[in-house]
Amino acid sequence: MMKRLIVMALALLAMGVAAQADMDCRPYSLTVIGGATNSKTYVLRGELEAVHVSVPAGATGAVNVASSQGTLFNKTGVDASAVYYPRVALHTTAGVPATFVAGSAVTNAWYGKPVMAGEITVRLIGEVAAGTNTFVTTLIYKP
Amino acid sequence: MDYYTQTDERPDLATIEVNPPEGYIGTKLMPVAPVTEKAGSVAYATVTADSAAQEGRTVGHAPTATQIANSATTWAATEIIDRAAISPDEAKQMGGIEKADEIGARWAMRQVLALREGKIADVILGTADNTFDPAKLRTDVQTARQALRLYPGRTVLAASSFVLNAMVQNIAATAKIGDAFARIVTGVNAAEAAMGLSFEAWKRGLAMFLGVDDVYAGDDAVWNAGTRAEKFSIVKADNTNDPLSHKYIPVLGKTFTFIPDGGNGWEVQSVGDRTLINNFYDAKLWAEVKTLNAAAVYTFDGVAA
Repeated sequence: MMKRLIVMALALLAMGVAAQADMDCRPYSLTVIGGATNSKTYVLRGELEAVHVSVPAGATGAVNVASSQGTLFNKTGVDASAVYYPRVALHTTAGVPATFVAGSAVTNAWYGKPVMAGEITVRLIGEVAAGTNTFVTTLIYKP
Repeated sequence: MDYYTQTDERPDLATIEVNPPEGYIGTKLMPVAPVTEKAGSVAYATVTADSAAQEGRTVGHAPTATQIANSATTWAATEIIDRAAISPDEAKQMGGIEKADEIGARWAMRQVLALREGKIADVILGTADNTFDPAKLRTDVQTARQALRLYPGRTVLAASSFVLNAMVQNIAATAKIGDAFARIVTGVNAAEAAMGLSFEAWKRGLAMFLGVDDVYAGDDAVWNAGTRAEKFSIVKADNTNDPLSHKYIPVLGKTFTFIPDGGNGWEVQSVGDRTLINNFYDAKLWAEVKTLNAAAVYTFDGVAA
């Protein structure tokens, strides 16, 4: 029994290490004065897993993450550090929204991770009247 | 022994080697053009766009002429100055007033050079034309080379040392192309190459990999500061060593420097002040970094560490 537990623990550890090795992150450090706008662009390739926004004390801002194909994440009124897991609606091969019917006969959309393959821009709009604030938006993705 | 310096112009200090760090690369890209006035105008060469040659000209009809002409602009040199101070007590510890004179003057001259370097870096690392993508870097740099093809000179990759290292790191980490890049330099894969190669070797590797003539590494404190951070440029460097090359070559620009007396442009003075109990060293240049052909540089942004 003990031997089996040790093997399971090692297997879980190996899975964790593998998952960690597959992940990457890219911080976008953006400074705005008052209600100004600032943006930065990097080339990223992979599936977007999460967006972490680090907000300085007392600041509020709107954070937009976009590729040249469309919006990946967009949120206004971000006033506290938080992590978000944005997902986008999927389509069938016929190009119509992919759905499934839940137990109560409600039609639901399928959601998946947004894909990135090119220039990814994070745009920050300050939403406070004054002051200089630096937000760090980190995109966590699987290359 | 007196630890006060002489109060006078110091042409002897103006000629000491300032010992610029590796990163002072600015005037390799925008060379000094000595001028004898603090302001004036200059005619300079520009690129005349190509036009298709004619075939089958009718006898007796003149071929179409494309007029080629220089442009003109004005320049106005401004004062760049800094002052160092060394107290007599400190001069005692520095091995005498002669040594203190050199230390003070060299420091003041270095600050002046750093400011001038920043003005040149602002031109070289200005508005971005493209975003760094390690997986497509060779073709992207080829696009840059094509954009600069009509400008003579050596094709140079210019960036801060930090950005050059970040480029190497990003390229080496990119699937397939990373190993190809490392093998160009060492013959081994990226993981092994990264362990034992010097920065100079990687610079040569970047030059080979990207097909540029030279790689210039700028001082991080200047070239990786503020809006210049995370950027690199492909730029045509004037290699004629002719101060008047802008008259006949479409160069990116020149550093017009007021040198009325045929010296090196520096005005250095020392002041031994017994009222303030201090020695002062002033270093001064009159210069303007003037862009003449802004399209002779192609800039990439987004080189993350």
